[in-house]
Amino acid sequence: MAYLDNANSTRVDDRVIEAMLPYLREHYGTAGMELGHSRDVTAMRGLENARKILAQSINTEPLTIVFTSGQTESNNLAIRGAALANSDKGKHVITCATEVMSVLQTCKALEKEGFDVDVLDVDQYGLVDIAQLTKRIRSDTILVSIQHANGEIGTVQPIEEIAKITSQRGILFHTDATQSYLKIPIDTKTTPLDMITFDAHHIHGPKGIGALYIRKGTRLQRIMEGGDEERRLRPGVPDIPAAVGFGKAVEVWGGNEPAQLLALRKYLEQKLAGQLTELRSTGHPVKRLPNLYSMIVEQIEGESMLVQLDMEGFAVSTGSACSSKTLQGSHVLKAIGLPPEISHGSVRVSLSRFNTKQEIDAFVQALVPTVERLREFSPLRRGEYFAYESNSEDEHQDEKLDEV
Amino acid sequence: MNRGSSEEFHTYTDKVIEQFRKPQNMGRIENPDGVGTVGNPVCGDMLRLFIKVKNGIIEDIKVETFGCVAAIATSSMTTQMAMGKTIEEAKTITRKMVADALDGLPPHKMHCSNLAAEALQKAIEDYERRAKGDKPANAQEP
Repeated sequence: MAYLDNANSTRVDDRVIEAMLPYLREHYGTAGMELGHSRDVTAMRGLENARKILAQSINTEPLTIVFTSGQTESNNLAIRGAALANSDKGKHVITCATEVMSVLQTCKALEKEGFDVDVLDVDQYGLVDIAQLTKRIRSDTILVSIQHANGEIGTVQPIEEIAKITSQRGILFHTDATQSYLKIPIDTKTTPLDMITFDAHHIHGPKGIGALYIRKGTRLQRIMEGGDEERRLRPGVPDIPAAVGFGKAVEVWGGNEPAQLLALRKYLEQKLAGQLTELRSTGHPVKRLPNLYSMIVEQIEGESMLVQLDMEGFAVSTGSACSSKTLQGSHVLKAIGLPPEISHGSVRVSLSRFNTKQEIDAFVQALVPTVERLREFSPLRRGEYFAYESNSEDEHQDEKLDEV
Repeated sequence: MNRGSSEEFHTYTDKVIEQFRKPQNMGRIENPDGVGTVGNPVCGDMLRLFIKVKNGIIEDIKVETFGCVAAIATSSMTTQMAMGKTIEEAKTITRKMVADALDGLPPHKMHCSNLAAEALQKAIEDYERRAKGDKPANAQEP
């Protein structure tokens, strides 16, 4: 039994839950007024303390952190908010094909509102090409949004290089660091990032709370109307207990965790390589999240592996089309050039502080017979794939936003 | 990414899970009398069904399946429904009958993951073509 789907969401740490409880039971003020009654004041102190902890984690001032409801809202606020506030300077936005839906769909919506959006390709490892990015920059480019690390294949983008390019040209740079936050350090003093998205539930905090770092002086327009909360950028009473939990999750994050996660992932990789054949990993071999291993198990399909593993108590993910209601395969696996018959065999294992070597052993012990069983009656043989009658090439190379 | 322990799993009936866990008649038949191959490029399931016919009766049937839980379960169920049947009886087996025998499939799985009945019909066509002396169709490797 093991939960190996931490890139999806993580177990809330008990210390986080304990920290949150008083803010549900006792300090239920709205943090609205500094000179208000005591419940408000205590709530506000909790909220501001969390903001301070978050700020320290990326070497910035508390004023630059705005709490949101999570990754989706932070991405919407960053992209839409920056596009609208800077549309007098230009209407061109650049992003890349492997971003999450809240980035891609926000860009798509902006396109309908008269903005121009360029979606960069990625290479076979999922990396954006800096030369291509530079070439696409125009005089009316106002915003670049490229994620820090990809949640499906783990590839880490060269955000330091991108930030250098955008800052020299006066273009805003937003990065979605949800998957990498705390696992790969970000220093806002040394890297000129303008906006950073992150959230709590990927680091053992609660769901429904995220944050957006907004560098001082960044022009941003709010996307929701209301009161003056969160520097007027995010009206509405913030979820204070969740924000406190978010802060606690950051506070208890151990400095050696990335190294431990990496060691555990390497252990998994070695075990798999020794026990399974016709297996390939996806994503960049080195520039990747420490806790994420994504692979393609050839000749078989991901959903059947996932369900079999689930019955045996192991939670993993797949990018296989068969496993989604729309029957669309992962847009990330498509972007790195994998045709559907190959991406069908995708399995993602993502680790957390709660996983152990024993769990990895048990997982591999369950996976190997699962793969063998399904391969036994697969019509596909080693090195052979479908011979489709239709020309599926066009479909895979299409990078229009509509296809995302 | 699509997740484990999802509602997907729970929308499968017990019969589907049972067939998935212990599928029957999986594999291939050497020197078959008919072969039917079907594949769906949209969702990617792919299967090849083999029949052995004697005196107009399907005396052996096997299937190789690449696909999701539903694809494997419907493959297994189809072979069980056709085994021992006459060719004429087997011709009446439809996707809907296979889905019904499994107490139903999730709606989005009805089309692309329920191809075994189609493979059976193709294998029967292939058998009849061969019986007439035409060259076997659909017998090539994928």
